Amino acid sequence: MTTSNIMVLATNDHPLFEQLKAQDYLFFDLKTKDPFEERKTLKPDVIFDFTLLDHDKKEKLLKNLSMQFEAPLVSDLSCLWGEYFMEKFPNLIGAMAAAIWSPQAKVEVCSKNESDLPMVRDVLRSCNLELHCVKSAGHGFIYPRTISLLINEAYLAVEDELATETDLDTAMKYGVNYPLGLVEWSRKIGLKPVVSLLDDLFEKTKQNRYRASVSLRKLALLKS
Amino acid sequence: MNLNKIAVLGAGTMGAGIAQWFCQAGCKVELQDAGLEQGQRAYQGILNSWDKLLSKGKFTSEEVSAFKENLSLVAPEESLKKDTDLLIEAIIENQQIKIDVFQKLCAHFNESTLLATNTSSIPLDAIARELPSSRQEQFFGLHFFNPAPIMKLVEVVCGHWSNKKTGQELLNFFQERGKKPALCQDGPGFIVNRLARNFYGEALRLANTEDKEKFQEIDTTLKEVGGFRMGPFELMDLIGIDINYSVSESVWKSFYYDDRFAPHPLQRKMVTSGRLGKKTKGGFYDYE
Repeated sequence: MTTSNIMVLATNDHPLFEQLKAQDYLFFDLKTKDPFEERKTLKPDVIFDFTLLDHDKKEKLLKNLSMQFEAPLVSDLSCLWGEYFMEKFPNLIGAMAAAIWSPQAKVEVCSKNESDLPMVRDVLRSCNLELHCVKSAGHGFIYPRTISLLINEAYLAVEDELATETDLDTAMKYGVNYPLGLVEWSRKIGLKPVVSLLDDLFEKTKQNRYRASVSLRKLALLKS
Repeated sequence: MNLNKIAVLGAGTMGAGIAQWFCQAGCKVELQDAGLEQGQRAYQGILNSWDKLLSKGKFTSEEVSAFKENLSLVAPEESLKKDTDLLIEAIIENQQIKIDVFQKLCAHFNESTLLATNTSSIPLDAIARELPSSRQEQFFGLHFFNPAPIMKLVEVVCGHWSNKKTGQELLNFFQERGKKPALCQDGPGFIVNRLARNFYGEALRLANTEDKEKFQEIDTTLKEVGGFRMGPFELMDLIGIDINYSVSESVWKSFYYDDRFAPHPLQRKMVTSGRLGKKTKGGFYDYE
């Protein structure tokens, strides 16, 4: 498969947007270029979806892609209920969590068939990332969900004036050997994906443990 | 801030580690435990640790001799020096016992002695409010992490009455001697035991049932992708599932049973069945 037969859709708020755009893929910035208008002339071997959308918009996009293209789909479901989407769309062959920055430059990937993994690996490698296979996309995978909750608690602690951001980061790096402080970590990831995942978890589970901190949400909105 | 004379009350793992670190930082340290044998065991343990570090080339023989000079064991019936600069209490985690001890210590030490507790779970103000008002502003939390001579973090905790300037000076003292201190207010779990709760809590929810393959997948992913040094399940096994569960319960109760800190039924199941981790040769993983 050549890179020119790989269709890549992305939104410009995805952290890999610029890197993907610079490659030789059939690239579509979803906000400026509609892939469905060109569907009759396009025959991609596979479609990679790197859009950051909420549940309903993602579902609509995957539904349209499934109906209008025959190619299998691989979607970034970092901030969504991946397990649900994997069951709902038979041609969704893989899910990735590439929107949440990893200190190890690795991305969780869940694939219905092992034979599809090399293709996902190649696309991720074009962005200098390696894949890490997991059995299920779950709801926010493993690392995105865990780090989002840890970051949320750090922002809640700042709201409570427990300590300064610097002191919180010092504590986690030198008390429990985290590779980064949680506030520092949130800035590497970007706040929007963290809030998106927390919102989706809260919406689907109705559990207060997933309610995003007000200051985290405010900062995410200010930076978007 | 000049802290030359230190007293450490309680010679368990934390007390002994704290005493060892202060000796290495060049302070004169008096170590006392309510039990004579425990005190002697801790004292000998610290000396042995220095000998081991000397043989490994971590310290020179001159340094080790100086450290040993700095440490003295005070028998339970003897008195700690009244002109101590800083007293650190590292006894059992029981609020009433700590209050009784600090009330006696207030009457014993000079007015200038700073008093600190190494508690990880008892609200600072619950102890401070029972102390004479003249002592309240000199009362702090100094939460060390195990092993204290190695772990860089010290949480310097200021309660309602603590003198903030002195708190900052304590922070500077540790910083100048190679620690990585963090200043925080009095709150359940302080920083680390509050912020790290979801590392365990969410992992337990991700696994949900007793499934070793799932524990393994979560641990591996958080190390490989997240860059954490240990996964949550292997870490709980190392800490002791009972200890981790007890901290979870304590923080949860202190936050009025907020969902964010709710323990998971799997933790209770492990504790009830006596599978507490490495110390019982079985927990989330098997160690036989």
